[in-house]
Amino acid sequence: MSFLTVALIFSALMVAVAVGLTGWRMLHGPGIADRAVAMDLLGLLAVAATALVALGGGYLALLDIALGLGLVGFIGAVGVATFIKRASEPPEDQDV
Amino acid sequence: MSEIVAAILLLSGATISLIAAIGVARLPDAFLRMHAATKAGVVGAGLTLLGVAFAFDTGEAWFRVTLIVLFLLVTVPISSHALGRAAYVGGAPMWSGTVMDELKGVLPRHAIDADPEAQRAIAMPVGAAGPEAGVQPAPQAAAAPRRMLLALADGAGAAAALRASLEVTAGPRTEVTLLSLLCTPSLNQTGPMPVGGAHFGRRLVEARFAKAREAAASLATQMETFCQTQGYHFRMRHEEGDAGALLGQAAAHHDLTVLPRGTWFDHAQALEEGYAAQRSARVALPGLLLATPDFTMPGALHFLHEGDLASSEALKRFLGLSFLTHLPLTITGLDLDGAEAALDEAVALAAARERPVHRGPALLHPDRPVPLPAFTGGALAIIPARSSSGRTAWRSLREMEASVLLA
Repeated sequence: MSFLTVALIFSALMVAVAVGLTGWRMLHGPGIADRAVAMDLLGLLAVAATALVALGGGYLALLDIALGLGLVGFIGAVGVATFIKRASEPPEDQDV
Repeated sequence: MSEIVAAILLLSGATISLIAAIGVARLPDAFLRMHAATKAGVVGAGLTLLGVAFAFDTGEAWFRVTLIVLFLLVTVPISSHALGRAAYVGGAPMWSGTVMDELKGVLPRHAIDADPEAQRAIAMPVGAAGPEAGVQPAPQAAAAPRRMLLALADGAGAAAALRASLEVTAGPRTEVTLLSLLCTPSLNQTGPMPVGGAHFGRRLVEARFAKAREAAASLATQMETFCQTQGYHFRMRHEEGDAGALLGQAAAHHDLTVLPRGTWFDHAQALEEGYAAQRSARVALPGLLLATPDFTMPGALHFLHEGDLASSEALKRFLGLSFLTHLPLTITGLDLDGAEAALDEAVALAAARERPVHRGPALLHPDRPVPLPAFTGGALAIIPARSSSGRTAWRSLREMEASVLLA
């Protein structure tokens, strides 16, 4: 096993633990904002994980998927942000 | 050589990702979690990608990795900015150790996180309400508000409530401002009109304005003569416009603002039944006394502490007021995690200002309406002007048919 393979395995393990922690935060909340932040980070971790898989399997095309995941994460985060903002606005005229 | 560089980059990227995840899992509020997630997250993913590019070391890989890293550098700040703003506007609770809120008053802050779990993690004040050096307990001689604003809103028992609150709180050196307001948005409401109704709608509104001005003038004269006979220093002002905003501006320059409970500046001329009560129950100004006609000198004070930053600030503001200082103060909290610690801190703060203070007998259930007599036992209820959660207990106290002081 080369040095690179060992590094790859270790980084994959660390990213897996990171995904576990972030997933726990996403499930646990407590607020919608916390879940949204966790989702944002989960998108970034997915990009990293896909890159690692691309290196491990030697599939260069997986890097394109990483780009797609980054895009989905970005659009998702902006969408959730818009939703939180709209949902929190009072339906009628503003309070004093 | 490039293998070693790649390995180092991969390991450091994964480590930073892991640190970001630990931060997201462990930090106390959404904003701090975002700080960990975005900054560390983008560097972690970026370094991992660079490591992969070094390992492949082909033009194709470099091109894609450069593209992804550039893309992440552009999009992550945008999405985290949008999320942070949304979290702030959406009323995500802040850690009670937060020392600065630069967006206060710049962006509105609503409450969406009504999920009872949502506030629990935050109810652990760490040094938020520490006694401040330099703030001295007010001397007994000045046990009256220095500047007092009377909002002349007409309605059932309004004049009696205003007189009662003046007699109870004002001292000989208090400067009283009588603010007569006419809420034009409320009076302009006409409701649905039949065909050709616009003409009558205008007439209706004009008639209503005339009646409201008359009512305002008669209340103002009444209060003016009262103040003259009692010998208060007073000024008189009349304004028309969005009454909520005008009242907020005026109240910012006064220690105490009195609004008769259940009245509004439509002077009982609005179309809908119960409109006035609804509007006045929504005013959230620190130092606002919602007075009932039978308001008398309270024998004691009872403060509702929600165990969060908003309540700590409210308590500090209340302790900064220079009147009602001699009355025994009871502080009661809601039955949440960390409430005991928050209460201990609040009581210590009040004791440091030389207030006769003690803790309430029991914690209140946060999501059950509070029967006011059981809560205060005849004392004047003081609640935070803004509740970060809008809890049932808080709301039921606000809407109760008794005098309440917002802090």
